[in-house]
Amino acid sequence: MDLILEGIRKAFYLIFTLDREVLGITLLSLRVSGTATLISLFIGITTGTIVALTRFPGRQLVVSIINTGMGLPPVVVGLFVTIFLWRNGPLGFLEILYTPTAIILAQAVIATPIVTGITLASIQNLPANLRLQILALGATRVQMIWLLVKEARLPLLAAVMAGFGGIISEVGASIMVGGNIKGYSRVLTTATVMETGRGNFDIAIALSIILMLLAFFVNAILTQIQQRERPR
Amino acid sequence: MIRRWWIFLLLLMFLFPACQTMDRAGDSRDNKFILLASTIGPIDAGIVGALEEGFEKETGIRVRHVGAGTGAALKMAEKGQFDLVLAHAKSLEEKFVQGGFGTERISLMYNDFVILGPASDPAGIKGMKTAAEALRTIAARKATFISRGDKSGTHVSEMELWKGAGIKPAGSWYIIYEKGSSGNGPTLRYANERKAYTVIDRATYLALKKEITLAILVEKDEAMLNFMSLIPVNQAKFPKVNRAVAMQFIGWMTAVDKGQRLIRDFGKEKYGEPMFFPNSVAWRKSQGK
Repeated sequence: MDLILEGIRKAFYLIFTLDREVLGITLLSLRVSGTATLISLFIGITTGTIVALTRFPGRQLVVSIINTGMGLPPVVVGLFVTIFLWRNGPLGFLEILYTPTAIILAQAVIATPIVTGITLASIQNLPANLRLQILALGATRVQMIWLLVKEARLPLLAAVMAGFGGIISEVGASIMVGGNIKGYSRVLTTATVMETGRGNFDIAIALSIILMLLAFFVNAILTQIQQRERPR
Repeated sequence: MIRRWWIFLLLLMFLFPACQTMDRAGDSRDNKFILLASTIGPIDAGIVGALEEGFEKETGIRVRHVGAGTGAALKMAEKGQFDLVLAHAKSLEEKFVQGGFGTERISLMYNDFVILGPASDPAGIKGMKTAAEALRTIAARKATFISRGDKSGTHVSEMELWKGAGIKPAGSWYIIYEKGSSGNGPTLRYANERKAYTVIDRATYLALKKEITLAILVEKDEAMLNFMSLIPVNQAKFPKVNRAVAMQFIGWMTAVDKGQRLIRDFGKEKYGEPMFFPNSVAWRKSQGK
């Protein structure tokens, strides 16, 4: 118990004194996971909408794959991204292994199926006649899709939260493809693992508290946006 | 109302990539970089980071490292994934060079292993002059001993010490820590929990000294010196290896007034004694040895 209190004390100390290293790690976490979420939103919303609105042979299979992907274990992603990014790997020419960019890539891979799956479900859950009505009112296809996505924006914000929440707290892939290099590719989760291993439990607890606060504030903002307008 | 939060969301969206591009600009400045596979001990001790930082400040070249036991690090390097390896297991290193994967072994520094055990010393090894004698006694008394058991440099060194003592350790007293591959720190911590004997490097001991009850019982035996070497990966075998830059980093680390001095002073302030000892050819010459 003392340890936890000491950790909390340390967390606030680190936050209020704006400890440079902790601040750097926190901003990097935010930036890496934020960028990865953004990438996953572009890919996920597009893919999810397309799959939701089209019918093609093998669609069931695609939906199953997406749904399985929502639970992709980060270490598995980490392993494959590492192998892909190795010098002799198919993406080795990018030369980004053990950099923050590699973490962004791995996290985007983890978040994309989550965003895709939720987008797919929320677009499909819109009343079936809505689509017909929009088209009947003379909208073009693009306008129709835009309206549907707009109509599904509340669950889509849930997709943002789920995606971001999933990757900001992820450690397996970050440590494998980022390398946890001090002042360069160290993020909150990898730093926590390292400090725990070293036995610096107070710092580890402090880092976890910062991580939770960060996740809380991001989600609070998103929830604020989501709840401001109640669904009719 | 709706418009307002859309604007906010858009802002949020632009903010992240903006930060990102700033970073890219920073990255492209130094498109030269080195990939280093290093044994975990010196990374955990912080000296790898300190050396990289010193080098980057002077040259703008970033070193990207990944930590693994010496065995694992060499294995990854055998596939040509790295430019440089920092290892500490002579036999494995020599095999790596003989196999044509690395070009040579370059002495960088050393630290030493110590035999730790409960302060009450149930096996009665305290003050023994050699590791061989101490290990023989531990085996004879069947005192609990924790081994890292993961083919890391530490484990290989431990096995060499057992070999020197003429003993093949086995039995219920000889425990292989199942999470040994997570490093020396966790292994030492586990030995501390079990109140057992173990062989560990001094740097790890110093870093954890405050929170463990195990004490140094046997030390300063020549056989327990832990030499760390740098091995550049063979460019002839792996054309993608960036040998020129790796050699530049090696030159910096082995230079008397740069890396070697940093190694000499590292950790002195925090622990009251050095954690590593410089050992490059240039350094030894400067000391008249």
